[in-house]
Amino acid sequence: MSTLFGLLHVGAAGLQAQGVGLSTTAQNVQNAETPGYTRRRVRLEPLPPPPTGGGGVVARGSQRVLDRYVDQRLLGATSARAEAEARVFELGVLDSILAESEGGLASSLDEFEASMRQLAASPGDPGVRRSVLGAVERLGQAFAGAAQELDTARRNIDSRLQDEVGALRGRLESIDTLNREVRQAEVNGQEASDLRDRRDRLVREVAEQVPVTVVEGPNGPSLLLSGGVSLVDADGGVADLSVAPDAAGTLQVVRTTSGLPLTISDQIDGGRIGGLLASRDGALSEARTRLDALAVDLATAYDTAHSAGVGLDGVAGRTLFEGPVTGATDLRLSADLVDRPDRLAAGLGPPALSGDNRNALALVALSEAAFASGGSETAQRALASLISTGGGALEGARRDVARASNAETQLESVRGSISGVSLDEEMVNLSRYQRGYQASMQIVKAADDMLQELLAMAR
Amino acid sequence: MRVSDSMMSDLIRRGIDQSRAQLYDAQRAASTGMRVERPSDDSAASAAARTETATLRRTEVIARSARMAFDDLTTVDGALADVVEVMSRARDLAITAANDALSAENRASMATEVQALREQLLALSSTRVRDGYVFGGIDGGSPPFDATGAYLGSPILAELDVGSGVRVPMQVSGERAFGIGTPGDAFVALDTLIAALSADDRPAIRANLTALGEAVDHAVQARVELGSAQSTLSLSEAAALRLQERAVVQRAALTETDPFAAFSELVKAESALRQAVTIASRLPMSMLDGGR
Repeated sequence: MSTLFGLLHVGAAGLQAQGVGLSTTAQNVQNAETPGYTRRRVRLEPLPPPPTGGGGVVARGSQRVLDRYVDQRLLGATSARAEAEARVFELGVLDSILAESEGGLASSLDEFEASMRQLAASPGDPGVRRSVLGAVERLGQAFAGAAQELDTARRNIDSRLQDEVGALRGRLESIDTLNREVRQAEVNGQEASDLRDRRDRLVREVAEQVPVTVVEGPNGPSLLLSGGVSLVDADGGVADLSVAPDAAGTLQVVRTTSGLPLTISDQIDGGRIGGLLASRDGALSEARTRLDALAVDLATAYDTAHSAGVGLDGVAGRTLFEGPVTGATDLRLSADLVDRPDRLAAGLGPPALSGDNRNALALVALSEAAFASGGSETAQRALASLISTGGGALEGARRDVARASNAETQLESVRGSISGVSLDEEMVNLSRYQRGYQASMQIVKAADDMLQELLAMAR
Repeated sequence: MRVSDSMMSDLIRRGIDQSRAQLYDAQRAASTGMRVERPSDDSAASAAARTETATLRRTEVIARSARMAFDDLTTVDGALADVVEVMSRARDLAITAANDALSAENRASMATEVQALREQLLALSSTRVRDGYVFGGIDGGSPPFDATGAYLGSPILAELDVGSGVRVPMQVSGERAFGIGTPGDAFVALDTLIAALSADDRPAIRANLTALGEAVDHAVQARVELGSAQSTLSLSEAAALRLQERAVVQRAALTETDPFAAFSELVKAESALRQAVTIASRLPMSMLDGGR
């Protein structure tokens, strides 16, 4: 049976509980637009009535409203979007080297082939011969320029990779620290929702860098990389990540355990770091390889044909390019021909005749000969194929960004629907807790009035 | 579905972002007239456009070279016409000289004219185009005939590649045009005529008439061959120009945008952005507004 003091206690408990409700509502309202904020809900519980308890209500703190499954899927979508965005950024160089432009690969190859036709049409014209040498030099410069742009892009990626892994380490350590702080706060009976929000924001930032899975355990969440590599252990401990060159000299992401380094690059298929690795080892690497191959094929084919002919000085066996050509950066006019247009082997000879264009015709025929890509394509076709593949990689990355962004947006909406703050809802909660507070005040006031009357009777 | 405030503001922000991006693309397409500027805009179209551009460049050179070779052969044709004229005049003189009514002095005088014709023939045999001797085959650097009429040039003719491996001769054989090594050798026929006229040897003059006629035929035949080569060059040039036009059209179809469609897209994108901004200015509406 309750007493008047018990009634006062019930009222006081109500005031306290509704106060927590008002405070939580205010917190939600204030953070309605705060990125990563998870709305709180007050856990109100009735207190057992007499004789077991005093009755009334108690606020068991506030609870974050979220769906772990949705959050995990959102992390995956974030990683996918960040990975595609990184690819779009890094593969931009392909547009620059493959686009039609003055002095670019395509126009230089056109000019080179056209110069051979002009040589065949006017084999004895010194002006035409000089223009052929110019075209060969510009072709070499275009190939070297494209190769250097690709190499620069690769170096930039390696530099970014180092920065990203450094930042990732910092974030993982912060998460580890927050894990400890959350545990400590909860052991001390303190509110840890803000700490959890901060940790979730950090996990989201990690997902921007690498694909990550959160595994909730009794001591908090552990962070795993796809493939099961532990990044943060709930029981304490952070992966020792770094970048180091592999046997081929390519920078890789390495996790060191007990002093043993283990390359984990192949397990990073998402996030910015995944995008950097995919760009460098995928489309950029392929473009560089194909550019080198095309340079070597061009040099081999034209050198073979050129060396079969004779210059106006009657000498045969000279190559068109300075050998040996092992890649795009080596494609240079032969030193024998520099400033010596008369040495261009337009004729077959012997003897050396100014009107002999038979070898020039053989050089012209190469423009329609399938000597590139293992003898399956013409040089022009190989270049078009490079444009198609390189441009396609960037085009595909853009599509991936759009697709991943849509998926992320959709999941953001689902998360927002669950964890976001609705001001209308909070206004209703505000009124509700306000009413609850007023009602509790009334209980206290009624109990107080009754107590006053009882005391007056006793006087 | 429960709708939070951040969902609404995010939706508005995304709507504006998307509309602005669409407007940017539409403006770019409308102002440049290009649908594909970079390979990543449409990699397949870019690769196909590259092939068309290469065709365009190749056919430009082929058409130009074919035209140049055609013009060169026109000069050669003029020289051959002169050769025909020279040899016809020599034959006419020989027919006249074969007449018994003419005196030895008349024939001696004719010999002088034929000598002049021979010098003219030698000059014609050294006709040059763009610093090259046209009757020397691929050996265009030195006179193809010496003073005796012996052929010093090359029997090989320079050819022009007009695409797809098809080759057309750019020259006429000096050996054939002047009948070198045949009974109709122009120089030999003239030398024989000069000698016969000088010697007042009528039988020899008559006997040389056939050779003179054959020499004319050789020059005429060379003009026929030249005409055939010119015809092929002309067709090749026309074919290259057609391919060029086709490549231009194809490339435009692959990379350019229809101006009406571009303008329509621009209007649509502007309208979409205006709507997104209008919606943004109206939201959010909540109980907070009602409470005022």
